[in-house]
Amino acid sequence: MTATLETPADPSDLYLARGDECEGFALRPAFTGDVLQVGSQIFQLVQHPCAMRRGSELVERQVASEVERSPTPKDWARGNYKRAFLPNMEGQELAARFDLLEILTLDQIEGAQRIAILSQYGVNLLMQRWVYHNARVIVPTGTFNDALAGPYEEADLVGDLMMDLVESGATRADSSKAIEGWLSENDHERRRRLETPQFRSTVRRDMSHLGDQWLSDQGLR
Amino acid sequence: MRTSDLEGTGGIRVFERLAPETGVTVQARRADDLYRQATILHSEVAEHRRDLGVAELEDATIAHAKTDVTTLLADLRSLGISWRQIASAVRVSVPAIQKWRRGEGVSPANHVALAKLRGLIDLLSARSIDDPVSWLEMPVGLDVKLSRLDLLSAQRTDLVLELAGDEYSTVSLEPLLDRFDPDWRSKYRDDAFETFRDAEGIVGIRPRA
Repeated sequence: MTATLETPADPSDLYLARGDECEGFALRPAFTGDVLQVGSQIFQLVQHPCAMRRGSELVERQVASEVERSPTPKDWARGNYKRAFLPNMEGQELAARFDLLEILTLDQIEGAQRIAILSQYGVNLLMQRWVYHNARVIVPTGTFNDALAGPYEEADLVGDLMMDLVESGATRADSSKAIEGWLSENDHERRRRLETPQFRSTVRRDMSHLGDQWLSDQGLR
Repeated sequence: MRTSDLEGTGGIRVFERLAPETGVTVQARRADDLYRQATILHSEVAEHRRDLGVAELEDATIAHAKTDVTTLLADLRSLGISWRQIASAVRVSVPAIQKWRRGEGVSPANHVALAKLRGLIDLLSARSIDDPVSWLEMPVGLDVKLSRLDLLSAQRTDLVLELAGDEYSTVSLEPLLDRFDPDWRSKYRDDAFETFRDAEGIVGIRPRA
């Protein structure tokens, strides 16, 4: 694979949601790459998904990069290695500054407004640049994809199921506990299965049935 | 080799098999001829199979296009495909899928694209693929970071159909990938790093041995 830092073919490939679109993912767990408005400042969470958590709970302090206006270069491989670009962010060209780090508390994260959620490719590209900034090692985004696909799938599924359960009348706390319990059963077997392409669809189907069964058990369906 | 040299050794019978009525050279030429005919036949059958696959998919698409979008989406979801994968295959954003789930407007072209995806899953099942969604998510080959779903997202349903039902592995992967992207070897393989599970059970990345 080409050993250079990658440039996205289309800026929109970087995002799962931007601006108002993020409201549709309100119950998606905080994840690597999330862009947060904290008061008057904007930050991007930059740690590996597993470094962000102890088990399924977010650790109390999260490393985040300050985000500021910054033009997006044509070739992301040539310089600007202290930045992770966020092009076309609601009409603005932004970038996260790896040299301007902040530690955010859980209260700050929970109180923040999420203004962008990265796609799987966006997370892979962020990780590529973050690792290069910190260790001057280039790892292809495809390899990051293999490593991070499991946690990204989990965030997707948890977010979707949380939304379904809460919209059906369940509390966030009860929904979260039920989903976490299910994913952790048998020494996190389902969580591990999400890491393997062969088994992801099975876990998704099972999770869908879990939602229906749980709501029925709670008398909510 | 003279027959007298082999007398009494049983070699005469071997020699006779090596030198039947038509001779080795003639048999070799006949084999060459059969190989050429088989190659041409294989190529013609492969092309015919591709055309029929496309026609079959068109029929399945038309059938599923009669179903409303909300039901199609719920159906796809029940098969284990994620919203992201549906969005990627149909070339829209996930927020767009969310709007469609709420009953907001879908263009006819996007409705057909969803029906085509649903139809493809039917076809894959018909070609004895037990779990079509799982099959689509898996890499096309060992150490190639490209899944059949990626081929679908790149609008190469033709290549996905070619790979489907290939239980005898007659489809040669490298020429197929060359048709997808001549630079696939540099873009979709990593000869330097590999993933592994560390002592804490987390998937990590390390240099290849």
